[in-house]
Amino acid sequence: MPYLIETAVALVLVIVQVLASRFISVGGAMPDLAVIFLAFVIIMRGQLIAEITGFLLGLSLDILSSGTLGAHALSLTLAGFLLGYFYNDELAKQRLRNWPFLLFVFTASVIANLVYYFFFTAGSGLSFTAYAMSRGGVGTLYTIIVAIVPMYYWSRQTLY
Amino acid sequence: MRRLLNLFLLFKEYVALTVLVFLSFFFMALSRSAEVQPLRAVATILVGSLQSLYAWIPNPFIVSSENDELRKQNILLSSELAQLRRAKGENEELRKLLGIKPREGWKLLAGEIVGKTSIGDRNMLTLSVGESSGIKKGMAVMTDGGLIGRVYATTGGFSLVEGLFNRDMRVAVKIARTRVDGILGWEGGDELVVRNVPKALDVKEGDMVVTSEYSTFFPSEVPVGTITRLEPEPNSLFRKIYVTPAAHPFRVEHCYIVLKDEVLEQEKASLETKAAEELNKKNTIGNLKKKK
Repeated sequence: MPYLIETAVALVLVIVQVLASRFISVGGAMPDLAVIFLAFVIIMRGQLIAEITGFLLGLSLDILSSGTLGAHALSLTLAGFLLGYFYNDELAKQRLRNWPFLLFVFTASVIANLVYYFFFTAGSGLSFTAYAMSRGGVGTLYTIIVAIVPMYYWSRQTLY
Repeated sequence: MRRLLNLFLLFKEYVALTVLVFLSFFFMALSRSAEVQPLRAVATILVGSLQSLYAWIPNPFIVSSENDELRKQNILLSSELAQLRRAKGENEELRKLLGIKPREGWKLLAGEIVGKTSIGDRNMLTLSVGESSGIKKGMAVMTDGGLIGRVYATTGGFSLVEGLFNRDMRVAVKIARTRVDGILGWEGGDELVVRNVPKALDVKEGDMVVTSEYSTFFPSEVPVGTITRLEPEPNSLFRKIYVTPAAHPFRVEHCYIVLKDEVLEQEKASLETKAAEELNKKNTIGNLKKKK
């Protein structure tokens, strides 16, 4: 049952991210809802599930946003895989309710942005450093601010 | 067999990573191919249908800035209109005297923007009109201000538009005042860039940039933007021209699709192909003569 709920939530988040971009984008920067969900999966489910979830989330984003197919999939897969090394079953619920969740969101966002912008800027004449720093940096900050909402919610809930 | 299975289970994370990374690269390679287009079409219909449900909700930030922009434009246009009417009359008279065929006006189709998607700096607009209204891939999309992009994909009732702020977008442009040609692209930020323009050519800040006749997608003379600054490219004879777009794709709610006249386009294309073939033939003969 928890997996079904999580799948439904993931689908809703991807759809919201694509559809609501005109309402939630600030100065071209968007909060990455997929990264927030991925951080949750990394903390709660571990490396294997996180990388598969990252891939599926990324691919759905690529398809729905008409972006380069596979670019988000690769970036979120790698973020899930790398951060999966820090999975700890005993600390999972504690991490979700406190600042470590924001740290996971931040690191996942940085990894995903670096990988994504590397492929996005490759061979285009765009500056990778400038791009990843400006767009990626603002996006990451915005994502962390949004991630405070679920963290606050979980801090007041009993998790299943 | 069991050993192999155990080994697989032991390294399942790495095996999964390898498979997923391979799949990602496979999809990247397929990204622009024709095989993926049906999937894109389904996604466009799905996203377009959902976006059209709430397209009536105005975005207060855009509406207020759009209103300000429209007021400014209204004032500018009313003064320009009087000048243009006079110029048009003179132009028509001169064309008649010289025996030049009058220039065709654009056939425009109004479209409502039902969705704006900006994921990872790929800016796309979804329009509520599609193939059933005569829209085809590659058609130019503009507002009353100027060019905003081109049609990237279409379905029966929706079109997906690739905005100017897109790394794959290249537009053949010219400076309206001096007819200096260049290729306009986007390198990040809020400005567009025309590269490789020789320093010696007459280009000034404030000059209007319009689409040129060399463009295969866009009709000529569509306003693109105004030159805001010029920057010399280090150790070269060229300079970079920064252009502020006349219309920002993300600050508009309605747009116009420039419909192409199929017969005229075909006639033009066949004439150009014929000319290119003849030129090639002449070059080959010339080369053979030189060799002899």
